[in-house]
Amino acid sequence: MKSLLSCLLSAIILLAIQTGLWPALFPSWASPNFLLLIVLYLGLHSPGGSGMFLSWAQGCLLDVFSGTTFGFHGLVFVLVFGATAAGGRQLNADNILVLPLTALVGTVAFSLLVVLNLLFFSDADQAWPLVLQALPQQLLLNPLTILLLKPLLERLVDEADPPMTASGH
Amino acid sequence: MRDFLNRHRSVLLFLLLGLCALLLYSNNLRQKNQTTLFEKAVLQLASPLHNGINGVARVTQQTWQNYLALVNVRQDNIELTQELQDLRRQLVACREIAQENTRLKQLLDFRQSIQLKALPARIIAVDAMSWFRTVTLDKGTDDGVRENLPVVTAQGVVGRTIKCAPRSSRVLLMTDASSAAAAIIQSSRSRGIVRGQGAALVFDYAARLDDIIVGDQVVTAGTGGVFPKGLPIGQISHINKLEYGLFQEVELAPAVDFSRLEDVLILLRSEQ
Repeated sequence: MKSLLSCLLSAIILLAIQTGLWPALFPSWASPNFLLLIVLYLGLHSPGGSGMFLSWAQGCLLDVFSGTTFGFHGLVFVLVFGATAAGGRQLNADNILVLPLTALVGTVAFSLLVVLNLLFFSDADQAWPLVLQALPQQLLLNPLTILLLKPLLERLVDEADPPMTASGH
Repeated sequence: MRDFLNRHRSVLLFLLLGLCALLLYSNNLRQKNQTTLFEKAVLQLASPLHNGINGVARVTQQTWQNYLALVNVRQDNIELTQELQDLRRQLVACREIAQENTRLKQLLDFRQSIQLKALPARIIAVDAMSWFRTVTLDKGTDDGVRENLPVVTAQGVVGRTIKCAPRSSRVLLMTDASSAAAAIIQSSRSRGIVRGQGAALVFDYAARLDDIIVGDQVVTAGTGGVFPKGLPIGQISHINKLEYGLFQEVELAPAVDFSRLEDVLILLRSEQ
């Protein structure tokens, strides 16, 4: 419970920075997606039920600050988490290149899922060109940001899913 | 059976949570204009954080700008004294105050010219995703704000409130792809729907035979139930008249400069 709260509180603080501080200091298009990066990290390092639930909760949190329909990003984040957890099993998560690569592929997957979700379910179906327009900047920013956020993410994941045994690699 | 459940626990959990997420999303698609308890709680929790960050950002921005200005002054005029630097800093601060004064005066004049009660509000945050166009205001249900109220500036329509917490509320801007408002072209009186497209706006359902020219003003029609009649939305910037079909394609330049929005007015309904 404590770990869940600390993870959600960190997410709220990161969201407040992303929506309040970042646009005041940098151009609005140049904003990384902090919560997506947390979800991708959870998918790689905590692929169990707690990581899945945290991903959904973070998506719902993002919906409070973005878009018009509550639950939109929750659904997308659960799917992104599932794909990352399934794909992450084949990778050595300790390799330094895996993290930025996951951010790169995860950003593309996230954008495609957002586009599909908008086209199939939402009345904002004309937003998909805007999602694709923002993709190059996101592809540049997210891999860099995930490397900068790594210490924070490690701490969050350790709290959410404490390691039981030493790694066998 | 138990073996099967244990073996496929993760997959079943994923499917269950995916189904829950889909159900929540589909349920909320039908109740878009209601703010859930969760949204209210999080907005309420984040409101002081946003206000604090907004204050820090403003101070940091001003300090940064002043510092940069001083670097330029030093480079260009090395003989400038400390006294002159102080004066320049004061001048920058005065200009900022003068600009804010002009902006607020325009809002005040506009507020006096409209019949509805208007509540001034300040933008404290923007949308977390760059493809959605929403902003967060520092006024909420404690100030009389509720869902589906028009938000305007002296220049024209900004959008409408969609989510309200006690001390903050979120506004769907006119430029968002899911935003739509009933509108009239002022000169030809053609009726249609103005929709957002990110940066620009489009005027849908303008009949091909209607006499529309670039530069015509588009105002709210007052029939959608949200915006009162006659508020400026934008100016026609591009027309594509096809040789066939019922309608022509009309693009608008918004009356409001959404990239420089700081202060807005929320129009409260008469019963409030």
